[in-house]
Amino acid sequence: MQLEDSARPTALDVEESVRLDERTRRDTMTINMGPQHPSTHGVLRLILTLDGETIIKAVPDIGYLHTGIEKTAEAKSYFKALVLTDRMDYLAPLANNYGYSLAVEKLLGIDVPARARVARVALVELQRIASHLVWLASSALDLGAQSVFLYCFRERELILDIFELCSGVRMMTSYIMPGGLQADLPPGFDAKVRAFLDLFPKRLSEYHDLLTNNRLWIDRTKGIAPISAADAVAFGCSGPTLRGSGVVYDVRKAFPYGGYEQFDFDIPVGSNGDVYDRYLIRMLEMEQSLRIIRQAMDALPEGPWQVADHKIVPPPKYEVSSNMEALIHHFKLYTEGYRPPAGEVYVRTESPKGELGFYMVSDGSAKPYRMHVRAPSFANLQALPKMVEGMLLADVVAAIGSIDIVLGEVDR
Amino acid sequence: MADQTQLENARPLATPVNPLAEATVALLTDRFGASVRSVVEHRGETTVILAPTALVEACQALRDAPTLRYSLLEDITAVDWPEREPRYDIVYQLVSIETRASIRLKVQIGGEDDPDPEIASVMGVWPAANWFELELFDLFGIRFTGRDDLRRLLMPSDWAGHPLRKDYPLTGFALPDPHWGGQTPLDQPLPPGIGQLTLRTSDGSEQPNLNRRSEDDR
Repeated sequence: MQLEDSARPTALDVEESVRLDERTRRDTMTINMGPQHPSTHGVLRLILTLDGETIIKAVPDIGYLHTGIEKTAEAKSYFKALVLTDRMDYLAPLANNYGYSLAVEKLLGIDVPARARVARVALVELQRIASHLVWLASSALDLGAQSVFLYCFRERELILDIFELCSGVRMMTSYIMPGGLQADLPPGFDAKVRAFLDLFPKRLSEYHDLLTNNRLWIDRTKGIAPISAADAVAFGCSGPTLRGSGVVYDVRKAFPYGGYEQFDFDIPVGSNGDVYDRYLIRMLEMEQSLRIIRQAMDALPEGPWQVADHKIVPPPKYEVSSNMEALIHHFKLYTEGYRPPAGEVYVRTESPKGELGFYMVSDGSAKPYRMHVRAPSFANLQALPKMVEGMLLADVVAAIGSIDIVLGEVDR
Repeated sequence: MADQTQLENARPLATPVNPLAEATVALLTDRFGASVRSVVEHRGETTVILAPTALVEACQALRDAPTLRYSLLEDITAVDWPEREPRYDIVYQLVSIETRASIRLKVQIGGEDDPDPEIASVMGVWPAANWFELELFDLFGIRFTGRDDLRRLLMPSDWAGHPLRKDYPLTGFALPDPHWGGQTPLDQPLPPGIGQLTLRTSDGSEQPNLNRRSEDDR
């Protein structure tokens, strides 16, 4: 076929293109993003190789927040190691407490009273909403939607108020403990949660108004940093990062724990595996969490909130000063702790970030022989290079926001 | 309110049933009979202890078995038993998204005459193994073969020792001179003894600071 003269490439064009090609090859640039970059959500460092603005290679460098939590836990009694778990995923401390408590209870072979079981589900789902609100606030802020940040933190404060009412602490509550709850749900808990349940759906629809059909938001998120279902599974992703790719896997449904099988809720699943799908899934998950909390509040039974065995939970303070047995229990628990029978358990829970697993080994002593945490952010972050390679530099920010990492949990 | 805690005693935990664990064990004993060392059941969780040589093939078989399809590698971790021979447990948690099967595989490696044990990488079966293996190399000193880029993941690259080993001290460090933050410059060799010493061990007993260099060394 003859090319028309105008379409035939001239010598100059070819030369120019080769020169350009050589220049881009030569101009491949390696830059450092983080560890103090605000959009890396903590202290994540990314070493990016760029061709122009396109990412050729991304290598995450982690460990800046490594605090040796697994090592420290080996030197604490089961009772005291609980507070370490708050500090891993510091945006969802109750979810960590819950996973840890379930693992220790499985080692001990005990179950908790019904009131504790239902209250835990309500608290953990409130925590899920709080965690998703921080995710929404910060990932929207990263992409330039500043007002969303303030609104989300306003609603998160309401949830933290509920936690403060229960435990006296806003964040590092340690309220869920092996054997039940630290204290009974306080008077006013029910009213406060129900007030939140009434308020939040309206606020959630306001967030949808701000972002879901926002042209700028869609341009920055749709088709950005996609990962296929097969890749997401192969890289060990879990939680919204996995479900965004269309994989129906939620630990609460697949391996129900702590009474989740009694609750009626749906699992939102995406199809494209891009930032927008992961965004939408978390938005829909908040609605489902509201459903679960509403059911839990309706079903919340009266009764004990801890096991009666004071070898596992501390006896009430006033008994300690009047009852000799209580004093002995108190003394034994705080100085030595309890000794689960030798064995190993792995407990998986669905934390706001994904599958949170606790692998605990007991050698029959009062301290965990080994506590390993399968952190969801750790596995999800592994898939980040897969998502961003071939994307633009600005999309890295969107991708990091969309997998919702917490470096305290990645580095432990 | 406190008397309410007396109402209900700690009930025994119902152990979940795992119907596919039996099928998994059957498949492994069928295909790798000689390599299945033992099968342990605890609190409804099944652990299969495998010979290290059969690990990768067994993982491949479990991933590809049409009735099981262990597609998701949840976790790899290790446990150090310094008194025992072999010394390390390498623990693999597998789960199937399609069939809801779950199993724990374990291989035992290392010991007195093998201080830096090697085990084949399963990255070829599940890419997810990448960081879990790097973490084990970093914190336990387990060397994974059949993969490149074995580097420290969490600790600084010039760190000496493997913190999650049981003989690694919980607190206390003797720092080389000159030092900053326990690290030495990358272009200098590490002084002998860094990272091996302690002021207090995990059981609370104190040890002499063996790492302090005598005047003669200076």
